[in-house]
Amino acid sequence: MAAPKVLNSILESATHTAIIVMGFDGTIKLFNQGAANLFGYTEDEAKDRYLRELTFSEDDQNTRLFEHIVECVKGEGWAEERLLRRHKDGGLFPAVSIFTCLKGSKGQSKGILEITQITPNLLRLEKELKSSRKFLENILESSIDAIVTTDTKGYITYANRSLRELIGLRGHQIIGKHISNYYKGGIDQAREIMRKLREFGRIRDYEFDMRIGGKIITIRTSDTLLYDDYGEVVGTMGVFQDITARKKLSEKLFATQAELIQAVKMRALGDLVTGVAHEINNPLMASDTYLHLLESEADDNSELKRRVLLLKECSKRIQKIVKKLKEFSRQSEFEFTAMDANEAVLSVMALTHQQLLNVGIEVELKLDENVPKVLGDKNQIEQVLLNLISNARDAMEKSSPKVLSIQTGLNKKNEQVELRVSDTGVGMTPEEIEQIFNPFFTTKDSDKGIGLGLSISYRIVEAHQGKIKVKSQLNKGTTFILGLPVYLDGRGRTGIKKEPGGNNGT
Amino acid sequence: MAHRILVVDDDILVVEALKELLTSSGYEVRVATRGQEALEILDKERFGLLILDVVMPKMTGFDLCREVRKRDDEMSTVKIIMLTAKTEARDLQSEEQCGCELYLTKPIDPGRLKELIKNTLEDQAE
Repeated sequence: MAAPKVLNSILESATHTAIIVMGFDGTIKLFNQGAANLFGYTEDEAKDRYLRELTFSEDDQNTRLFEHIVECVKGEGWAEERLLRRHKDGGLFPAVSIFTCLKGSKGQSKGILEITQITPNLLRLEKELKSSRKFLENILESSIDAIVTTDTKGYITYANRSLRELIGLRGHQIIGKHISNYYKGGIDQAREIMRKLREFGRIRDYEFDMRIGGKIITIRTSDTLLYDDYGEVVGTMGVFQDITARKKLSEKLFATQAELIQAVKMRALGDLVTGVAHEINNPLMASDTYLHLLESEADDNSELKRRVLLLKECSKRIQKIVKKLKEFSRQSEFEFTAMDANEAVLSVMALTHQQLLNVGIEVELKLDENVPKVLGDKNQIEQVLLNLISNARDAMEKSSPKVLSIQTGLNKKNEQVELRVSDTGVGMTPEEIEQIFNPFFTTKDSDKGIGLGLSISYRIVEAHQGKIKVKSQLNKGTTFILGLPVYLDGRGRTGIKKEPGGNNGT
Repeated sequence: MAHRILVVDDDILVVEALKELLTSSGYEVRVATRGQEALEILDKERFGLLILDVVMPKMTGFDLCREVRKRDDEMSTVKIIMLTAKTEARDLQSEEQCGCELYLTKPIDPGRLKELIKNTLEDQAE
């Protein structure tokens, strides 16, 4: 027969391909030269021994791999495996094997035909792929910025270590969660981001708030869509930076800057006002003098007399404004002593209480008897309080109820005594609050004020190195908070009673 | 005989107004707009009262007041009223040391000013 000869010749010529025939139990029936080359056994050594014992690695034997192969071959007719195979000398090498069913002349299954080739390149590639994947994963994991990917519906598919740390969950707890769980704006926020992504393909430096546990943190994110090989959107990738601390700092910086600008503005205005007041006083003096002469010359009940008297009224008004301006610009007339904030409140109350009662205002005093002394000019602080009280009174003109409350106490850091003057009046809009300390800004009719009271107060408090703040709600009321530095005696003691080693002031 | 008053102020509006006011009250008034000019007038004339502005160029009212007190004639004891438009902190030391009788700030009610002038001059008569 010619055919078996040709087949034999093929078997023997395939020196780099192992061709092995075996029964379903794995006993080797045929072991060609290629197999001998690959595995190191001669045909005689291999015959009638079990394939898995000769050529499988120990691990593969344990996994009952051969039974699996037999199953596949019997069921589907073939199996392909990439395995580490064992050489006679014990060394392992990678190989690709195809197992097919060997059929008899009547088509019955007789055994298994294995064709195996060594696959050094494929495995190296796989190894390289693994290591480059590991490398990329390492980069993602090591990133200080938090990185998250989601599918197109917003379910998280990957979260790197920074993100896991940010959220405070383990990887498996995050994967599969919807990203909107962590957005303060919830699903609407997620939709908004997705809409932007679909429109622009990417978002750069978008800020939003995240809700993590009970905490809100501010995130700056840059996001992109993720595409597959066919250009289909398969999800999103977001890089998150926690900018909560940075934002707080910059807000603080902004506030400090605003305070600084306000202080500089006030000082410049002070200088200007001093000059203007001085310049006005001379012509005012002259004009008053002429009016005085005219008045004495005019007949009683004459039209001239009436007009002169009206002019005198105008002049008085101008004088009043100039006087206020002078108060505003007064800078160096402070006499700082250790003073009691409560006493200042009480002496101002002595002046105003009856007057407040007369217009239906109820007064509540909540004075903390233990507040330490502050370093201040009593007269000036009283002037500030008088001003705040007069503002409160005007703000409550049409309100009901009318309650003025004055409270004293230490601030949280124990470095300032705070005086809070609250009313239940008309309140102010945020726009009004912004301008409230500006000279000549007023919400009152022109006969009630010229808009200098609070700017004078501001300057006084500034000279005390204190703080004046305002909180207001429209139609609910306004609170002014006056913070004055705690007086330190010669030894730097505050006189705060709670403080160990402190005394009771002076 | 009417009292003679010298008004010194660099603001012409003020000196003219004061001159009219005081003249109408029966005083004889001389005016100057500079300290030096006032000193020259004092060399030749006699006054019962000087009214001096504080802030003036070259020689301030305080300087002028001190110069007057240093004189070796009878004018060294003339009554002096300082009248200032100063808005800054008052310079109490200068006020005390210059040797003036009164220190007033502008604007002052003209009726009140006349009264104060009358009182000051009457002190002199005693």
